[in-house]
Amino acid sequence: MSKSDIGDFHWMLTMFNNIDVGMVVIDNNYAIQSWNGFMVHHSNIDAADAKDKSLFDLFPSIDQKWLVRKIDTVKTIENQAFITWEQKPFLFPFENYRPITSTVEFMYQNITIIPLPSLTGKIDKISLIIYDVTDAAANRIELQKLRAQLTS
Amino acid sequence: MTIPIIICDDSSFARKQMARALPANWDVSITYAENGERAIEAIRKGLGDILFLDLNMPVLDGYGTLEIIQAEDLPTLTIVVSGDIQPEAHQRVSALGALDFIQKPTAKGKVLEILTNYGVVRPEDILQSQLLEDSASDLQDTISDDKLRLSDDNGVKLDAYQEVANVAMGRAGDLLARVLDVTVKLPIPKVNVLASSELHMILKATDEVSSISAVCQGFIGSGISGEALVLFYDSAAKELAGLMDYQGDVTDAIEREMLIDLSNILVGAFLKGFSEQLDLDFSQSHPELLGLHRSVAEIIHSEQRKWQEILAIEINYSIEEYDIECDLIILITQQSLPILNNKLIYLLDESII
Repeated sequence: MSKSDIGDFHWMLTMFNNIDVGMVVIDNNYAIQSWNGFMVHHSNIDAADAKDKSLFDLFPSIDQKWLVRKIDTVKTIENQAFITWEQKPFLFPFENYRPITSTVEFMYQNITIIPLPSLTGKIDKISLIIYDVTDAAANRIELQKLRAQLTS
Repeated sequence: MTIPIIICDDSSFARKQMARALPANWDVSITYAENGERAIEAIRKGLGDILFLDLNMPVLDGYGTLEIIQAEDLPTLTIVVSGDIQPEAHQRVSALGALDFIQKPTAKGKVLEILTNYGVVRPEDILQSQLLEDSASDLQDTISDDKLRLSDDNGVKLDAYQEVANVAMGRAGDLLARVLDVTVKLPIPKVNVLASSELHMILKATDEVSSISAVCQGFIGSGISGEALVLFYDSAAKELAGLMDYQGDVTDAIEREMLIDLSNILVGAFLKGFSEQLDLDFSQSHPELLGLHRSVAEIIHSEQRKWQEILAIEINYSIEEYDIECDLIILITQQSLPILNNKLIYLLDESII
């Protein structure tokens, strides 16, 4: 690697670890290959400890059959898939970012699953991108409650 | 010859840190003082050729102590040890006759460097290693003593938190002072264990008194989570706008932006100072203006929250010469406390080495 390559890698890594979005890469056996700062902070599992561990071993609460089916589809159609909080409030059991003044206990998540092709074009890795949508979800739920009160 | 020195700080955690930052085999007898008055008494008794002096203390603070030393020409060399790192504080204590300024948390090397520079420590002051072992074991005794005392209160080391908060507060204050180009008056941070009802009261005040705005920001990392609240008193808005160079009318939008910018500076600097000392790593959520999108009453009445006890660090910043005040309140969840306590014990042990 040339000096500038390492320089680029360095700032990209800083960004990867500081972005307020969860980024996970898993291989075909659902073993974690990459685990960014957001995931470290919210799960309290170090990137080094997560490496090569099965996603389903680390988070037994994840519905394996359900997620595997989603991921298989992504690999087959080579296109992204979405999981929204309305469908499933969360995939990773994280606490709310604001544990004290918030009205909901856990972090609502929107998730995007994207296929990562290797140099040969074969899909051998999958990335999960986790968005914290707690505020939007909590507001929507409040709004629905109010609407229900008005119409009843 | 044994040199009598005084370590004056209101925090016992800080006194211990300072004692441990002294050169290892320096032959001294240490007198501890928890405020300026005690230090002055000790100097008058001839117990303090050298005084290590904190600035923010109750009863008589560091500035007042320096004034008395200067006015009465008391025989002591004063080295200020403080978390207030604003240049203005440095200048003020120099003008009051302080020899030098050490930034908290005290680094051992720095203390030796200053003492050597001023010729306070000479090679002959350093004792043989045998004697050193004796004093080291003495120090060890006082440490284990203090450790017991520290954990009396609900298992929470309030005093240690206060000192760590003190250093972090100094950094946040310094940033605020630089951004606004003013002098920020630093208080003594208050560390308390709050029951949820007390927190309700704080939050309620922000809802009922329309002149208070609150910004809150969550933080999480290394198994520790909590929230930072910044409370502003609205009378300050116009003056703040002036200080932050906002031109024209202060609209609601500008006011909101200002509050969020300022609280981000305070919260960011505080958390950075806090996490660096304890070797933690936090990520912060986006700031949110409380009560803007959701009423505070709703948050308070939410039954889902199983609030137990919360560690609260309260810091009241005020800006000299302006009518501007704001409170920074750091709330840490109960489940984070065991991890934090371990980190504090480690911090204490580390400074022995």
